[in-house]
Amino acid sequence: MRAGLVKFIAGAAALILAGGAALLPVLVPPRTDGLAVPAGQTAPFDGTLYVSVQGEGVAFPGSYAVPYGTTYGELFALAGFAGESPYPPEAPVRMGQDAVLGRDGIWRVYIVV
Amino acid sequence: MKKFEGDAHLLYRGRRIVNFRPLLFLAIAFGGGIFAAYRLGMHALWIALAMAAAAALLPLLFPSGRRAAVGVLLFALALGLTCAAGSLAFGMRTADFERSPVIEGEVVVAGTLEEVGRTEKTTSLTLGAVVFYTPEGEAIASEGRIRAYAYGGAELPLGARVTFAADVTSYDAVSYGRVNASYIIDGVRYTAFLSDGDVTVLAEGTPDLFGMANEYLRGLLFENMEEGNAALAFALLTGNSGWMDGDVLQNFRYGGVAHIFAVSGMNFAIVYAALLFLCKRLRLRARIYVPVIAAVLILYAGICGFAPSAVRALVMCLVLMLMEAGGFAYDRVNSVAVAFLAVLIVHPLYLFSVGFLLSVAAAAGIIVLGGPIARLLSRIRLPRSLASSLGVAVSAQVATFPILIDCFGYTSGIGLALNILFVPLVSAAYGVLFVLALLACILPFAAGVLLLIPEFLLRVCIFPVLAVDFRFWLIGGFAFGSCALLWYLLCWALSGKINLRPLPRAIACTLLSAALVVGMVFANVPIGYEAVFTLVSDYGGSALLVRHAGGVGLVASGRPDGDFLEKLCLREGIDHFSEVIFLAPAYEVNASLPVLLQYAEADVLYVSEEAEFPESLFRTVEVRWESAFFSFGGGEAVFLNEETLYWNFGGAGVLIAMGESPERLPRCDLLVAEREDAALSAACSPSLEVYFGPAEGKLSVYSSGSLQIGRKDGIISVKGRVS
Repeated sequence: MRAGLVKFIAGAAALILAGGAALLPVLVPPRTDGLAVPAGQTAPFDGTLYVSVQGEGVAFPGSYAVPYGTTYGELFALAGFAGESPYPPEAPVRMGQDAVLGRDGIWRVYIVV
Repeated sequence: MKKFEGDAHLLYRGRRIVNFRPLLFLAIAFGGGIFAAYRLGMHALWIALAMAAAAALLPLLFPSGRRAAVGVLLFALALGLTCAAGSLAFGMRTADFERSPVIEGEVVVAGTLEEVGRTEKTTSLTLGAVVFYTPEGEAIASEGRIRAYAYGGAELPLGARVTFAADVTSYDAVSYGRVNASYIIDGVRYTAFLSDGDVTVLAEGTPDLFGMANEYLRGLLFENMEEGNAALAFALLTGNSGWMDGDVLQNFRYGGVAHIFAVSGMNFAIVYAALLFLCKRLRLRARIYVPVIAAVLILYAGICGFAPSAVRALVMCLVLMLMEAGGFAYDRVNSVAVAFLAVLIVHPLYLFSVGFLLSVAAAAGIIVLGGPIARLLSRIRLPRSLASSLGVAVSAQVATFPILIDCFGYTSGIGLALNILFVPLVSAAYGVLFVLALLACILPFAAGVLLLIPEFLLRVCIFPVLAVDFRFWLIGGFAFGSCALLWYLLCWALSGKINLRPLPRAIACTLLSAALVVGMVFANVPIGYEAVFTLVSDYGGSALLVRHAGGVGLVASGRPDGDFLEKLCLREGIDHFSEVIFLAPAYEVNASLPVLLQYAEADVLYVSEEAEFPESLFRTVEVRWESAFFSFGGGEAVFLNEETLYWNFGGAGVLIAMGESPERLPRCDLLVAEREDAALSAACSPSLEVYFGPAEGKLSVYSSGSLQIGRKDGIISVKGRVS
């Protein structure tokens, strides 16, 4: 019983000493917020490509807003162009050399066939 | 033989499933409190206290006698208080570090030279009692120390009062997603870069005892040994590897044996064993030899500049010595737990120090897994000594594997074999070197003869490291993150420290392995995205990395640091880029490309047509001058100027700005910029902004670590990446 009490007192003293050692050197108010900054945010984007199709044989010339990934074949079908396409029909519309940055900050692709 | 009552249990053998070790639980509670405070701030304190109260109520729900209830109550209270003390200690230490004022920009600095360290090209000067004189004429005294890196070998006396003008930067407690543990522990709040001649000595000072001993030892070694061997001996004895050849040191790192140059457990264990042997031979009593050995060990740690690894090893050694001398029952798990607790009490930020984590993991791994692995090996009739040393090496490698992968991005594939062969040899050579170097210090006239034997031994030891290039044996390219916990649980389930019956053990191990595999796949393979790119940044540079069907694309800031690029390539497991862009002026691109090519190959370098990048016949990389949209990273990109790129990332517009931007900018969905700029943000009206550098209240690599950006179904999402 006595040995147990001595061990308990020694243990408690060691703990108090340890606590004191951990806190004493810097008696300042502790930082209240954690250091870790979790990251995570989402935002939608419309993914639209603005294309202007002009030229002879185009039934409905004008500007089209098509989703990114639309192929030249789909675009020309929309614009009613049935002639020989200078672009591969199954390739997606590319910005390439034909994209121009508008004053409104939007890229537009100009295609003349 | 009497059977335990518990033997009838289906799940475990013996009395209980695990042996209850109060010290281990207290150590885990203290560490847990520190980690909780890092994540949650002072909420952790209240949570710890609430959990202690809840745990104390448990015995009331399952009454099994009053005495047991009181015991559980007291221990739960102790655990809660220990956890709360950990949180409080962490909160106070970080608050103390951040209390020193933030200084940015050109100032004149005056301070007392406290430490001088060397690396291959620079000398680091650490100054205390610092006063900053701002251009406005204000004098700001700070308790934080400053570490100035001087190019060239500045020879300055320790203890001198020096002054210089420099561009000073303040370290935050967290930068680029990492806790700056070593800076906080060392109290280094500021950093500056200067040239050799910039420093003026105001008043000569006297170095302290430790500094003088260190200088004396260095002088003695370099006078009496060949330069390369002297540098190696000095690094082994004091942990200062700055005098060593950079390439040799890097090969030690690639081989996974550079830990021998950190004065740590191995060194202190050898010194302690030698001193203890001597004291026991002289039949000294514990009350005499304990303080003597402690004094020698403290002096030795002082000569090593009280480096964090030396302090850690010193504390561990002193605790173990006191436990042994005090006659406490020797239990290896308890010893490690006490040492862990003691080191964290000295400074709670050690919990975030890689070296500390590696030491604890290696020690715990050897204790928990070393025995079972050695037993397994002796079953296949390996000699006992070989089985035992293999058990030690394998268990240490297994336990440190996730930490090495997550902190350095790679580990050595040949490290296991090298450690088995090399470490015992170097340990033996170190023992001889320590004793003879000590004798040489006492008898300097005989130093030449005394140091001959260790010089020969060292030359034999390092021959294999000099002869083979270990860079090709690296494992990397993935990260563990929180899956490391599953890894350690699996190690524990496999070990002899849990008394499970074979069937439950097999089931537990299978489930844990399955969870680990699934977790690792989810953590490392971007699932659920159409495409992903990663932002990485450091003090040495910033980069955007995109993997696509055609290869790996890189967009980097100008003049990235070699260390930054090397770490990036190793961490991501990349040795080949299909396309590279440096968003910088042409002369900086010209300087950056060779740095990148040291660590990875590149197929194509894209440069802006207006950049006037010089043509050369001697390029190994194809250079393309682009004025319109070109194919990049699975999408299309266009240079808006030398430092700004617009990239159509599968329909999402991404504007990457690493410096000056043109006046007219396209609208974009995501802005990725080096630093926060309200005008830039207003000009391109992004839905999301992400910065490489510090940005108050915005997503940044600086505050969260590397970021992963993915797109799917018209949504861009940014999240912190594992590692």
